[in-house]
Amino acid sequence: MQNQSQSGPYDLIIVGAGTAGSIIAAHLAEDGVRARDGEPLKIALLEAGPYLKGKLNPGHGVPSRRSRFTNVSHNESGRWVWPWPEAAKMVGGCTMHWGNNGYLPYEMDYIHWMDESGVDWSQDKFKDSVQEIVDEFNIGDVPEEMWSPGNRLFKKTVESMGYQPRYVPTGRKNCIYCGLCGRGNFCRYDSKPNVLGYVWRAEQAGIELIPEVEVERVIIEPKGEKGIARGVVLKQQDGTVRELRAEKVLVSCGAYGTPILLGRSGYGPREQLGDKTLVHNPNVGNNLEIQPGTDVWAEYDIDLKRERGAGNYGHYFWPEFPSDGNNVVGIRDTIMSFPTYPQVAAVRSLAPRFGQAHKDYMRTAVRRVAGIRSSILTPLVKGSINVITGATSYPYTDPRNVKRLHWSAEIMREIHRKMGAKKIEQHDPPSFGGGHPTGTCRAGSDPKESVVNPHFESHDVENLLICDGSVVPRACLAHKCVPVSIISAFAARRIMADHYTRA
Amino acid sequence: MPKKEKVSRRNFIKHGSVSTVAVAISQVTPSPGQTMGTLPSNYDRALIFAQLGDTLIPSSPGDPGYKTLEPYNITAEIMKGVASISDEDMALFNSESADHFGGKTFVELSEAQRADYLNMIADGVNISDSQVLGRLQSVYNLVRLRVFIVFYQNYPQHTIMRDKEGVPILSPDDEHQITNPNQPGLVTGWDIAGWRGPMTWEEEEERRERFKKLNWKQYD
Repeated sequence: MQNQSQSGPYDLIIVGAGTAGSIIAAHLAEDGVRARDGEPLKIALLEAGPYLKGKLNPGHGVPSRRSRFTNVSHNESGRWVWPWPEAAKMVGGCTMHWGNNGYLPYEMDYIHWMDESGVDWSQDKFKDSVQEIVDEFNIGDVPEEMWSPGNRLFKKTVESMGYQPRYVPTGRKNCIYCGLCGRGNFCRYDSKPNVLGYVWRAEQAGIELIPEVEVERVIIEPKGEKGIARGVVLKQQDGTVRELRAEKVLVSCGAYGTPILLGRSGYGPREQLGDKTLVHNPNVGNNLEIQPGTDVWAEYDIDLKRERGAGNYGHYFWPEFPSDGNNVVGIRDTIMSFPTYPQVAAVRSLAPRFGQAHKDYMRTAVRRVAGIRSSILTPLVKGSINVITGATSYPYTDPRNVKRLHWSAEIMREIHRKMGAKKIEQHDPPSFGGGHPTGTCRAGSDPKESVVNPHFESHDVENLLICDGSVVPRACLAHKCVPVSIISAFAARRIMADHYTRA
Repeated sequence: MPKKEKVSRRNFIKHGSVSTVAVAISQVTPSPGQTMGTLPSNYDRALIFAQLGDTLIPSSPGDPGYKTLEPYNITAEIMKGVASISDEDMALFNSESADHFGGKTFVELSEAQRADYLNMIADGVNISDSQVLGRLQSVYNLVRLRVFIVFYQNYPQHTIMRDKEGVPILSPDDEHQITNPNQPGLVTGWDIAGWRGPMTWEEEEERRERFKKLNWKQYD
């Protein structure tokens, strides 16, 4: 520790200016007051990454952000990403990625959340929060004139097979359909929705935004058999270590970042923390849900895609798996209307091995080669993240996953056949991958099975609040980004009512 | 004292890896790309990679390919990502062709012979020693993957110049902060694939005009 100084005290420190932290900060800064005296809140919003400021102008982009993003690959985001997937290290966090999916939570999602851990998160309670995010992210359908030939063919084909495809809703603001949003966390035009509008509102309402500081730990002091949060210890870019004191701390570092920070603070499973354990809770880092998926690609004689286009997915449907409970497998058209990335087309198993044949294939492959993807939206198995090492463990190849993905791969091959594919990938077993991590500090009514209560308060550490993807009790049929945004807007309302309304 | 068996250099390479596995487990694992045995005096790791790249993505007059990017050090870039391939395995890959192509090593083969050799490895035919075949296939698969990814990710224009803070360095007259690294005059993987990459300012403006009629509003 090179230097130590103290600032504050704050009424609230929010760790992480990504999706959840920014949404909650704006709400509390604008409308929250200290319960005891009605005075405006003193809030600090901390972020490890930089703040690229500027007037938001969707369709053009903020100059300071435009210069940094090429929309080519998240690697091009330079140093502004965390080591774990899809996590931006920047004020405002990442945009909605992978084509701006804007699925809103389904009725079944709310039921799953309540059934899983006893939260009282019924659909009717979320009505205002859903509308807020729909408006903020401008969620709707891509205009039909932007569909690619492949999007249309997919829809027509699956309808002929008796399924009922629905268009994947997307969020976009003044999009110019460059077609590069299928990859990467950032949009140079700020057309992919992000929470920078919330950041701006929070600043206008007087929060103290402190970028480029990495929180080393939450200060947790013993209180009986439990703990009490007193603030945070952070490290500035120059290596200076500071302590910030606050009455409450809200951790919003994401499904991977939050359990790691809590672990560094001595809050987590004793088996991992050993003698560094301040507060034991085996659920910190546990109950990790990922949505395993696979895809089947095919080569066509016709162009399925255009030179530019919309980077969203097309249609999706949920075929009925020979049933066992609430398990849902989703299949979606990931053909997209923009060309396949060349480096992706080059290494698919459809490509000739090498030489002139491979080169000739590559001249048109980016428009003729496309995939369909399936995901187990309500996974039957859970994994974990080690709160010390950050290593994740997830049983992708659990037989229950394998069975479902094999089954869905056969449906996807059939769709390709009916669409007239020239050559279809036959890899078997299919490759596995997955995303949308949730549940690592899940909310629930029982302290033995969860980390926070339905009001986002830690069961074990007084004055510690948590909200981000980690609190989601059950993986969402609606993927993740929009549901987490909606849960954050809901959390802001609850936290305000519980703690920041004049008594 | 038993008579020492004469072991040819090629045989040593063929079997060296098997014996070194045990050594590595008990003693030390070689750093990627390092060798634990004697290599042929004419072993040239970079040349093997270069010839492999040329075979995977051929070049011909009017149709640039891998070799066209050699002045831009594409082979050095390829080698950065395949350090896990040992020198023994690369040397084996180079020498094994001699058994099938009249004593010629891989780098001595004609273009057509190199392709035949790669197909033989990929098909797993005519190479009876399964351990040798496995090592050859591993080299082929790793190098193939690396070459295709680097080449078709637009090398050498795959990245933009940044300062020490990570901020892109723009040309002085770049008012619109266009960071498209693609420059005309050099044929890259993107050009071959017909991939257009990020938009120019003119294209952005044209599209803004077009899409203002579709779904556009003022956000405050």
